[in-house]
Amino acid sequence: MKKLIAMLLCMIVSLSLALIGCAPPSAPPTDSTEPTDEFDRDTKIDKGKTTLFISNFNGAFGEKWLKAAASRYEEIHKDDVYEEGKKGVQIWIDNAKQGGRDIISGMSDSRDAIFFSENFYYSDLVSSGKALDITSIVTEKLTKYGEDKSIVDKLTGEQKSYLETKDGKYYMLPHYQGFRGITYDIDLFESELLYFSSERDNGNDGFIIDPSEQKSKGPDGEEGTYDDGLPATYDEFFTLCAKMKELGITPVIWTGDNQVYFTEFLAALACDYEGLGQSMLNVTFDGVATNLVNEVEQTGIVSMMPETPITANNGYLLAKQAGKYYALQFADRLLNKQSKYIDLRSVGALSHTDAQKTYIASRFLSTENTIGMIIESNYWENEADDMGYFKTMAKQFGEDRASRNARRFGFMPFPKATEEKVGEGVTLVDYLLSGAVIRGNVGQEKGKEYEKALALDFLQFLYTDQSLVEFTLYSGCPKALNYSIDSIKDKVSPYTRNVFEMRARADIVYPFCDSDMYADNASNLMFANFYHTIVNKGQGNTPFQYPSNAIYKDGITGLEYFKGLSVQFSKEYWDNTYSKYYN
Amino acid sequence: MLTVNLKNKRSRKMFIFYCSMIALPVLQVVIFYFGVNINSILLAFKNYDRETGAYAWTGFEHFIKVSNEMFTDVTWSFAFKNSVLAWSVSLVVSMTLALFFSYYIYKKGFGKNFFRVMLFLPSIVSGIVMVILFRNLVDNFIPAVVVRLGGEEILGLLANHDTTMLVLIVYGILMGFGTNVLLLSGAMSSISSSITDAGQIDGANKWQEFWHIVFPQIFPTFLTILIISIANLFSNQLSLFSFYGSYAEAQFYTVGYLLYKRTLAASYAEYSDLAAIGIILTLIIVPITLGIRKLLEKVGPSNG
Repeated sequence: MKKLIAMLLCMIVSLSLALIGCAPPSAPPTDSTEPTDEFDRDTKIDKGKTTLFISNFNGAFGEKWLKAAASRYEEIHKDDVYEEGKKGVQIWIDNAKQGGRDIISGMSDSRDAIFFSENFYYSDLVSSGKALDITSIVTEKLTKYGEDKSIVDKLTGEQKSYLETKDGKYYMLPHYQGFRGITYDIDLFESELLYFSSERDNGNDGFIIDPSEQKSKGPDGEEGTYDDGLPATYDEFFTLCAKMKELGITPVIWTGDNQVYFTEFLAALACDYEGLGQSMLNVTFDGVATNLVNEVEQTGIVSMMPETPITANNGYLLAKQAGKYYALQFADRLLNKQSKYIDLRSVGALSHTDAQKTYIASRFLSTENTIGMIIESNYWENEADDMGYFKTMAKQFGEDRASRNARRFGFMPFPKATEEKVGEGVTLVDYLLSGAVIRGNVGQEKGKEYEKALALDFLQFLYTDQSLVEFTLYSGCPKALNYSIDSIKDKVSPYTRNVFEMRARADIVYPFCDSDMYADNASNLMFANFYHTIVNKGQGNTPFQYPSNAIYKDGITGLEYFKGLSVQFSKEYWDNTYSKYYN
Repeated sequence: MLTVNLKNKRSRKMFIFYCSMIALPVLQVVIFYFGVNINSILLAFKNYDRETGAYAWTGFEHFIKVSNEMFTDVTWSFAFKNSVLAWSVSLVVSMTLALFFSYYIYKKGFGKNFFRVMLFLPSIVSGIVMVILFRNLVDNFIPAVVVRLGGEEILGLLANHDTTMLVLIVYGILMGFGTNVLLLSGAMSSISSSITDAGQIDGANKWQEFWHIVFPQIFPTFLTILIISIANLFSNQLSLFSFYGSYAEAQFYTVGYLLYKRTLAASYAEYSDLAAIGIILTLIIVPITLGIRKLLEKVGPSNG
């Protein structure tokens, strides 16, 4: 008996160790048939229907958009037969938090047929052979859905050249879009008269005295547009911050936990200065740089280099891009300790969701200083909503004042570095590398031959105009394709409307390309990584990675940080890292 | 030494039992140690070919590239410096304290069981839970207390770069302390009481007993802990990933963190560089580890 018990114990110990690695891909469905949400979806697998498994990165963009589309698709195909003995289709959503790189390594063994996620290295995806060729559905005109264009027609030139392989095939479609930027509280700006007046010398530091007063033209330099009254230049932005301080408002907050948020914001600010073409040089290394800084004098006067052809051989010169210089000057002024323009938690341990919660609640809670702006991405409102922050506030302070649709936020167009830049267009950076892919071996399993056609059809369905608009309706965010949301403008939040208004006018930088140099060094060439610097503050050369930390905590100036970029990205560094790609 | 006589039923059964017990760990070592490491070594000599989706031989290209990088990039020099600093402070402070606490527990000092449990507790509780608790304490609670006491708003101790490294090292010491105490006090408890009794009869005081009797007896355990810590010098992350994820500031990197962070973000083509870094670090640390072991075995106290 003792032996038996000992053997059993040994087996349990051994097996439990071995079985740790054998968790199912997602939580098994419960037996409950109660609908769980507004889409009235089953919570168990319906064996009378054909099931298509979908993996969804359930982060800031949520899953409602997919549930809505799935319900429509199921309704359309309720009488179709894909497998013998079954009628209709059930779309089963496996919510996950797996990034693109993890998906690629494990997708062949997954039960999911389609994956929606972010941070995909497209080159790895294609070369791994694990993704399905989806060219047919991407290039086919969507006439069966009443459209006269194909999905590829909804992509920008940069997206097409990246996603189309040398042999003319597509293996991935762009998914959602994320832009770093400044969000402002429209209600606060209106109630506190924080808009600039068209009359600079109106006796109120240039701010409107009365809501009916004509506002300034804003950064686009045009009257009567969405950005009227907003700061047109960095100088105006800091005048605004000073005004807020006067009124007892903390101007800006962001997450202290992930300083990369702020760095990505600076990278976006730099791209707005540089424009699409100059920004793309940072990944293509092919073109002529027109904005390289030669020298910055003590007086702040910036002298520029002549136009310089950029190739892989001299990509390090892009550390001198004026956009980076001005963005770091912006950071320098914002993080000035004496001015106290930032909530101190922005350089502390505040998580990104706590920063959102604090920003939302600060308008109502007496324990918080009101906060004017948050540096985040365009999806933050949806993320905060999914976290229940708006609902909590609405419960306490009333639906009409504090619910998501009652709050009015705006996505502030980037102020321009100099007066001369006012009137130039907006440039945004979609940094998420998001994508939708189909598993390469889909339909190869015996008895599941139908799966390939079904997955292709469902993916195409999700990229019809109706589905794209629906995505925005339920997530409040854009998909990374060209489409209009005119039909739902009155159903989305003011913030979503604002983001789309700006997106329609903007050039969008997708920071990737199809060159060998980029594909081989994808992690190294992320935009935020161009802000690694080396500064000597009397204790020898010291590396810094995040401008916010270096400026606020280590007393590095924006100019020192900028000059240090050329020390980090020196010719020696470049030769050692990239010489194999030299022309 | 296990001798097997397969004709003998009992011996055969013993052998089967032994094989069944050892099979899983051996399989694990073969796959996850030898398999992974051999693959990693080979990877360092290969380039990723996107046309075929396979790795092709390339020679020492990655070794030249990463060794240039490791010896010229200031981030690497900080990582080396921080790794050595964390290790040496931890060795001096943590091991010294662990030795004396273990001796205190061995001598059945007041509240020995309480100390034993409390010191070992951080090693039992989930690492991420400890990190959250600790971070809240140093980055949220302490600044809040300062403000409550009428002081200026301050940064937390981890957020403040003047104190970040110190706090990280203290945290590392706190976390590693309990395990060392457990191992050392375990070794001490196996010392025969007749030896210490003899020492006491000869008039040895506590310090003499510790230095001349107890320490030599537990020296092999002490040496093992020391050698393991040296071998882990370049894999120690100093809990940076737990505290900051991939977003720690470059001046606080350790070699272990730098390598881990880069691996997490790497594309297929970048894995070869990382494999080469792994081999170079191994080539540095193996002779150091073996040399120190040899030296300490020579100069260390003898219990014979």
